[in-house]
Amino acid sequence: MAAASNDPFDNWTVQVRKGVLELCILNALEQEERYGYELVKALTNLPGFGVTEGTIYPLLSRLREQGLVSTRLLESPDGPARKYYALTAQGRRSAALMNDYFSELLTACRTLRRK
Amino acid sequence: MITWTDSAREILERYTASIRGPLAATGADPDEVAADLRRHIEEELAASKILIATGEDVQRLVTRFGPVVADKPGRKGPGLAWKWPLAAAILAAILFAGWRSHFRRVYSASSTLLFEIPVTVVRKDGVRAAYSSSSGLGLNLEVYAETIRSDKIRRLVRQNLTPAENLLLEQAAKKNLLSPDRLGRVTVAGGDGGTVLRIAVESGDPEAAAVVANKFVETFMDYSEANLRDTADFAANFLQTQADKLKAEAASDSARVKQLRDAGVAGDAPEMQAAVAQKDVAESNYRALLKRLEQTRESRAPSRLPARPLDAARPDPNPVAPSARTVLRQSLLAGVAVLFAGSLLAWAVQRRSAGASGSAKAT
Repeated sequence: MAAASNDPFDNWTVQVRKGVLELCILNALEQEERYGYELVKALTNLPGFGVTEGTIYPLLSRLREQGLVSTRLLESPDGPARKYYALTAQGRRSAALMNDYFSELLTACRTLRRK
Repeated sequence: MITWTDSAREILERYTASIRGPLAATGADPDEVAADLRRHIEEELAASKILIATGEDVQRLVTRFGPVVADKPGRKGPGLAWKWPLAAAILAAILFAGWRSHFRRVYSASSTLLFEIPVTVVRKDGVRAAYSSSSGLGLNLEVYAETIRSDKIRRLVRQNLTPAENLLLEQAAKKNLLSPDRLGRVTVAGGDGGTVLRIAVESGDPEAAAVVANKFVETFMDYSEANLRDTADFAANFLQTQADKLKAEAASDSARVKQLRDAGVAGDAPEMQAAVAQKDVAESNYRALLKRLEQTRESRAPSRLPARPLDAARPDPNPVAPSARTVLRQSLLAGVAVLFAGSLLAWAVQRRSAGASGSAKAT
């Protein structure tokens, strides 16, 4: 397991991913609502992330509990009923704040590197 | 629609059971996540045109899902640092409060109520009026004891205190922290087939203890009398309504008989005999109900009360040791108070330090 690795880089990437994954989910829902399977596929296919369903679904459930996303079940012609996730107003505000903060962090980090 | 084989269902159930514990730590709803994962598996299989979910398919997928990782940080920081000092403070408060209440001077006074066994009365008409066995009396005593212990009686006692008694109780309460209100600790004991209830009061002042014990007896007697009167009044009102109806019926039947007589109907005519019989029954019913009404009104008399005061409480200047229950309650109250205050302090400090770190981030 990556978290148990002694490699400093591995440990660091695990920590970064944990923090950023929540923001990625909110960003993925910014334009339109998405159903669980579709959303999970989009996130698990992100290069460099290496997240699994076992991480994403609990996170989605927590975001719903926190009121950042809302869900609804819709019948699907291709298979089982689909659970659609959408950003709430609170979720939009949080996503905006998190994106601003993340950009600031990246800028600050790059500024240090140029110096 | 995907059909699940038994082994597939079993593997998913085993997996969801194994992640329930870690899920609780993430702040997610375990039932919701289990349903989401099942739906995801069905989507995955439907996308691969698989119609029957086998154990092998599900095993492959749950292996890929991996374990649940708690992404939510646990509660750390100042809270943990406060744990041991807070525990020590709680222990100290419990011990101190226990020691203090154990050595506090408490005075006790008790008054008693004698309950009388109702006499078995057999009337001429064979109606049994009242009967009580010793076991029946024991049960009643417990009911009376519960009544005296009730909040209602306690509230009435407080209302019935005179200004001078109130002042006395206020002074006693200042000397003694044992009372949740100024009345002190009241215990009601008795029963066990006996006929006496003892009301014992613990207070910080001997005179206050006696005043409260006697006030409980007085209030209970007033309450019983009012209760008896209310019940009897209700019954009397009901019976009066019924009596009025019967009286009207009897009058109507009498009028009918008179009407027949005036019309010259003979006394032995079947019609006349039926009317007379109906009138007699109506009058007899009316008289019986009047008698019952009279008896009900009599039952309002105070002589029908279930008990009478036996011994009045007198101030006893010799202090007694407070009960173990009182000492324990004081100790626990002190412990809870310190826990609450400590938690509040820890929370305030944590909030302050979080605010300070937030300001540091902003700068």
